[in-house]
Amino acid sequence: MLNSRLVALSLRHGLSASSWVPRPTRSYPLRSFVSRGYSNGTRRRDHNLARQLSDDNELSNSQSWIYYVIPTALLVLAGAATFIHYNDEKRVISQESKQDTITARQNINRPAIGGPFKLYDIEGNLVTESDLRGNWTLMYFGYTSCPDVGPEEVQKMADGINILESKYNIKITPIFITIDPQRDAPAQLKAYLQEFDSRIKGLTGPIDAVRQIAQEYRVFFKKVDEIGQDYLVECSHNMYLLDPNLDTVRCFGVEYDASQLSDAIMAEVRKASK
Amino acid sequence: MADGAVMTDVLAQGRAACYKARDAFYACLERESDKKPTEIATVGLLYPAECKKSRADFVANCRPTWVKHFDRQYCAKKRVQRLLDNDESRRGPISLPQPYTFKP
Repeated sequence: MLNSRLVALSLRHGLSASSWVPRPTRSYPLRSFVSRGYSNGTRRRDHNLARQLSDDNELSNSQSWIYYVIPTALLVLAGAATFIHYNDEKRVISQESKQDTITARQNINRPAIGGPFKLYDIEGNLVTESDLRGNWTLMYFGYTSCPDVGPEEVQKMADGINILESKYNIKITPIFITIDPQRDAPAQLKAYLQEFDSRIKGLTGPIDAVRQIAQEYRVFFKKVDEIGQDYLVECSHNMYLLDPNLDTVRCFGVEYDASQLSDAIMAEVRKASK
Repeated sequence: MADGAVMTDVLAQGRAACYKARDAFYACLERESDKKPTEIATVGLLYPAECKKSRADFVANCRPTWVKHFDRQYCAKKRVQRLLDNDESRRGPISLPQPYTFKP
């Protein structure tokens, strides 16, 4: 730094000197250059002395530094080693905790489907969600005036429970919930369902109660094609499989046939009993 | 709907009769497809006069909403088949003659 300042100084003076040279009558700037140069020389000597002193200081300092650096480095190393070790330990997933997290995740990731309801069966008895507790339930939302998909789905449900009973020896409660309670009176439901399988429970109720359960199970329904008193209901033809704790385990669309449906249900039952 | 009054036309027998009449009508429609369709069904579907009888049977055996539903289903099926058709001229959207093209 000092050297560079020196160079800059001499340069400036050199320049000024050269610019003043054509007028030799003026000797003032030249003299100043000489005096400055002299003073600079003394300062340089001072600096050399200071550097020597500081070198001595550094030597003694570096020796005392070692006493601090080595223990600190050791401490940092030991700390890093313990941190890495504990981190590894924390990240190790033991077998049982893995199981726990999987079941927990299944519970968390389950869609918020289902809820309490209050409906009437074909005999006029009150049926609530607590009546389904303890049994596997297959739930279908439909209506008896459905032209083609509805009867097919109910037939599929009847075939499915037959297969489950004969092949796997397991009983499942099939439930048909009407989404057209205005037309589907208990007598109508009874006449309709007993043609498929008398074990299928038909549920109906006041419009508000039906709307409530349809919304709880995310069932879409809409009155379409009104011709006079007659109408169709556009709806989602999904079947819901409920486990004994009333959790919705799976939902089956129209793409399943009876044997696929029963196999899928059986797989779920096996998974739950494990 | 009053309690006890059961709508029998949606029960198994009624359904079977309706499906039978429906299938007969659409079979007639396929069979007579070379005839000029003049009569009007529900959702813009046209059928030739030769199928009038089976159409009447179909309408008599099914609810009006069901008839409409099946007609709509049939039209949708025909539309899809048109797109899948091997005959190049019949595939894709219909190209209509342009009424006027500007020529300088």
